[in-house]
Amino acid sequence: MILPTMADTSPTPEATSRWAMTPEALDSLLGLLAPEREAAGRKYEEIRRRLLRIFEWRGCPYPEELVDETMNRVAHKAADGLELRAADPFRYFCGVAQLVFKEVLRENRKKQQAMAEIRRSEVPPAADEEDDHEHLECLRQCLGELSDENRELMMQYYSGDGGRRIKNRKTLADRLGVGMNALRIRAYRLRARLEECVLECAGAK
Amino acid sequence: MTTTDDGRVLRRYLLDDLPADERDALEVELLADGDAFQAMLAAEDDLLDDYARGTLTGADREAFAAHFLARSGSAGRIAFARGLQAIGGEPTAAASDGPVTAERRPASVPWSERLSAWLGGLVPAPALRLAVAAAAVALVAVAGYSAWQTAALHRQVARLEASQQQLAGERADLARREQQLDRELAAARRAAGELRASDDASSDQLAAASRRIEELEGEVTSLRRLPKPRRQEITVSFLLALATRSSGVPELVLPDAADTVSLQLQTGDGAYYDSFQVRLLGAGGAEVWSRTGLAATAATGTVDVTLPAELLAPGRYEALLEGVGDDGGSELVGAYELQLVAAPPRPTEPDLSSPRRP
Repeated sequence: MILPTMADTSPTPEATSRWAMTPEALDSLLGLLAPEREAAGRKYEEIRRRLLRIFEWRGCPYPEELVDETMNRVAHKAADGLELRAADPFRYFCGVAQLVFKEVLRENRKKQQAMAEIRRSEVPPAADEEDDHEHLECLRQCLGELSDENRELMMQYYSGDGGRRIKNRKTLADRLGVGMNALRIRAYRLRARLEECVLECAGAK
Repeated sequence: MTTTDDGRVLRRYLLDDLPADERDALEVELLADGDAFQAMLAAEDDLLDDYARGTLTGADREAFAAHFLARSGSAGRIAFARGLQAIGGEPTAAASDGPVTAERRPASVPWSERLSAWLGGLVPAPALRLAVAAAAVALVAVAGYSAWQTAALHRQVARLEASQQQLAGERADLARREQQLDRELAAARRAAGELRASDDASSDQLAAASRRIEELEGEVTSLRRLPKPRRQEITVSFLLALATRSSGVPELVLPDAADTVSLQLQTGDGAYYDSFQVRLLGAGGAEVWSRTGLAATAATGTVDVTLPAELLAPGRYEALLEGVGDDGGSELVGAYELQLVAAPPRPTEPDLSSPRRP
């Protein structure tokens, strides 16, 4: 496992202020997450990954930079002697992330209003049959590479909508003898694998 | 039970529809709990599928498009969702509503059988495969047509047209995203130009500006390269049975919205031929369309052809099915007369807002 280093947290021009990551700050942050460095590194990466998604779900334009900003600020607080209660570490990260988000929102409010206007305008569509066909072929190929059980799970899990979809999934979970949560995680991971496979295949063509 | 056990809460979060305090509390849970985070990722996939399927409408659709399309890689994920639905047989137009249908859409076949058929390559050609994935309306050629059949046809075409509109919406969303990226790229280039002209710009700032331009250019290229939602073809199929003395000339209704017409010609006693050709003759015996090198479908005992609907104006036609021998000589296997009529205008919806007359 590759542990975070200074290269991973190199400051962006916007963060050349007091929140720029330093080796001491990074060490303090890792120490905050776990006593053992490798475990701390894993937690660091997982928190980064989740924060990135949260910023994306919030609709932030530059989620990577906002994650960096959040981690940098927590690291500096850690270097200043911050102690987190065992039950609280994520609450603190979230609090800082929410603060960073509010700052970005304030700065970009006008730009966001303009973007919202642009999104509302109508534009004539375009189509590319060849790309469509290639993409579908890649998906078929990738589905063919799954085991029969996984392929059937994928097709049944994602079939239908609304109430019918929920019913399909309950039936599937009963048949496989697993809980809904386990089924959901398995389906999500299979789908992620398929999406990667299709991207690679389409890129190769 | 935690917040993330409730699928409705997850959807509301993704659609930016939660009060601020609930949203903040949920985000702490997402960061702290791996299962909760996975549940949110899975909920996003479901929302994406609903968006691609067209069941996400109105303000929800706008909210999802506004956030989701802004992310890099979103066009690819939408294309993936559409592909998964196409292979699963969705969205599907309904099969004909009554007893006169000759063939049913794949939607009524169990998932496992449909998947096996696909993997077994039972649908021969890519173009025909796409047509199967697209909406299809099937009618048996019978003498005359009833008002009931016409109404059923109109309902099916209306559903297909709704599906077309949904695809048009998706294309518009992608096009808006492309415009937005173009604007951001232009702004980034202007900013980089100003930095270069300025005496105060640091090398870090210039490098960051160049990185930003490269990122945006990459996103634009990816977005343009990825498949766009294509308009679904509307195919109307007719089964042409070998005529008997009493059967008369069948009248076949051709909707305006049809893109292609599929004819299934019964081979009857001519089934022993390996190769067939079909000629379609119009008024005065003039050849309107022809195709050679055809094979019969064993399962249905028919030779199946598809031709553009625009070739067929209302009128009398004769389809000739000829078996082709090894020596290249042909023998007439069947002749099928048909009368194509345009679909009558769609009945207007009654105005329920106006008071009834006494």
